[in-house]
Amino acid sequence: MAYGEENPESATPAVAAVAPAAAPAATPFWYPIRDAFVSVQKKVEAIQKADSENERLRLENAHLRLKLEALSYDRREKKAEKNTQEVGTRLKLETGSKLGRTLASMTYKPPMHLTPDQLHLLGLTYFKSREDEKAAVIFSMLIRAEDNEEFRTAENFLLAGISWYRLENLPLAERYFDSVIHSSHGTAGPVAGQAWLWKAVIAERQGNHKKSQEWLKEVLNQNPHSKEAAWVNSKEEANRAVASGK
Amino acid sequence: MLWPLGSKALLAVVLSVALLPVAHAKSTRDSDGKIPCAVIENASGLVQVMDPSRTQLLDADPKTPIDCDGWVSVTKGWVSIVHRDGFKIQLSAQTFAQFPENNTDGKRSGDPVILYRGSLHARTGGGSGELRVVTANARTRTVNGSAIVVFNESDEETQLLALEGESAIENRFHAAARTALGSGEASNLNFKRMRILPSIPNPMAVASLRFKLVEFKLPEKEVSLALQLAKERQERKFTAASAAQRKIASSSVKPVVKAKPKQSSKWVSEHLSRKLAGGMSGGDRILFPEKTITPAHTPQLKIEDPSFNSAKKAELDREKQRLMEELSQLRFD
Repeated sequence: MAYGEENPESATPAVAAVAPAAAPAATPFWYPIRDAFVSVQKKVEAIQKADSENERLRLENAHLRLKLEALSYDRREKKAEKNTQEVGTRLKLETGSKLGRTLASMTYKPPMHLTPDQLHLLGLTYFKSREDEKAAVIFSMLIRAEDNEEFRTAENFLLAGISWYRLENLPLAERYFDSVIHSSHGTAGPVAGQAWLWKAVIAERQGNHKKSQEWLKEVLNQNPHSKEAAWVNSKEEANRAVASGK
Repeated sequence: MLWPLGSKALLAVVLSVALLPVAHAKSTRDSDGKIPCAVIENASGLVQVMDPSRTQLLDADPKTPIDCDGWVSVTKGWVSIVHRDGFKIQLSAQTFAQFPENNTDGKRSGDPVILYRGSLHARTGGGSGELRVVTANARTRTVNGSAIVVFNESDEETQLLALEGESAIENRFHAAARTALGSGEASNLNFKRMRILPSIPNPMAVASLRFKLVEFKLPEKEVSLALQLAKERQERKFTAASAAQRKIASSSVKPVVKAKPKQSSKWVSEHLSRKLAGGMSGGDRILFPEKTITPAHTPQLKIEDPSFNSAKKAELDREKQRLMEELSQLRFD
């Protein structure tokens, strides 16, 4: 055999020829677009769902906050109402009025750099302008001063008593009016007369009509032609001479 | 021919966005034909409005209506609100308030604002009437002026700062327990001391007021006026009534005018004297002895010269006459 010639007997048997596999068909160009659209749509739906959930949670949060605020408000409201009733009842027992004030319930502090005379003048000013808490504090302080008895006069007792009356503290006011009468030593005078009148008013407010009449008669008996007596009765009655037949 | 992958993806995104259904539609409010209780004028920060049906939570954009019985919550910032009755209300940070229906009886007798907590600045005037703000324990009233109402939830205390005009604070469970305030005064109500009345009006410290006013977005003019009134009140030495009663530039002392005696009273007194004295003459002297006493004779010092006689007196008189004639003839050039 010539070189290069294949021996037909020793040649590798030829592999049976197989038809080659068919090449895959080309995908349409819109497939990626479709897939992208679907993917984006899913994401958008997810976002939409999250947004709705967020809105729902916001609303729920607002509801809970509102409920919390409303419950807190209701609690404070009930507590305030209860405090008003309780404190009012206690004040009624202590002072005779639900609106009564005591020294402990007032926050006013008189200026300490003033002399007693200046403080007295300040108290008079507050008394005239109806700033009763300040006037009551100042007069009480001046009267109770242990190292100075100069201000324990009938007039100051009367001013203190009227201030405390205006603050609806009837027992304390009555004590000061008693001090007026005591310091006047029972003598008739405008200051004592006014104190009796105020005591009559207090007795009337406390429902003790009989006592109030006694105090008014005391005013008439002590000084029937006084200005205070004129307040009690009419003008003609006040001008009536004592022990006259009329 | 296939496009490049990047371009295809980009096109897909653009198409999907263009076709994206609206994820969250902002609902429009159904007004039901009712006038809202208030409208938001301006806001800043985190402010929310909830409608009374509790189904909608709105952001506080300008012109957002607040239906009656709706709530406003300010977490941060501030919000400026105009009430339908004409009140201008501002809420500061950490404030929660409700605007209930206040005209159920046609007379506007209800309370326009309920302050749950926080701070509120109110301005009234121009015929808007009285603004009542209710807290858990108090009710404040402001007419023709401006005021700040604060409810401190930790102390459970209501404080009223009257900036301009007259205001009042009262215990809402006892209407008689009321305190009136003037410009530049403050009062508070709590139950720490044994009293159900609010505290007496006290002048506000200007520094504290300035610090408080910063929380609100107020015009500079209004802030200056409030500070000026507070300063005037703080510097006032005497009580309000005595200072207010005196007219400007008038003397504080009123002239004393003596009443002229009435003619009739003189006749009456004479008649009375005659009657009481039983017709005796000189009855006045008996009844009013002080009138008949002559005034005490004032002592006078008189020196007499015993050697002085009438002749000497005549000589002295002649000498005096001569001197007077000489003096009258003197001329000073």
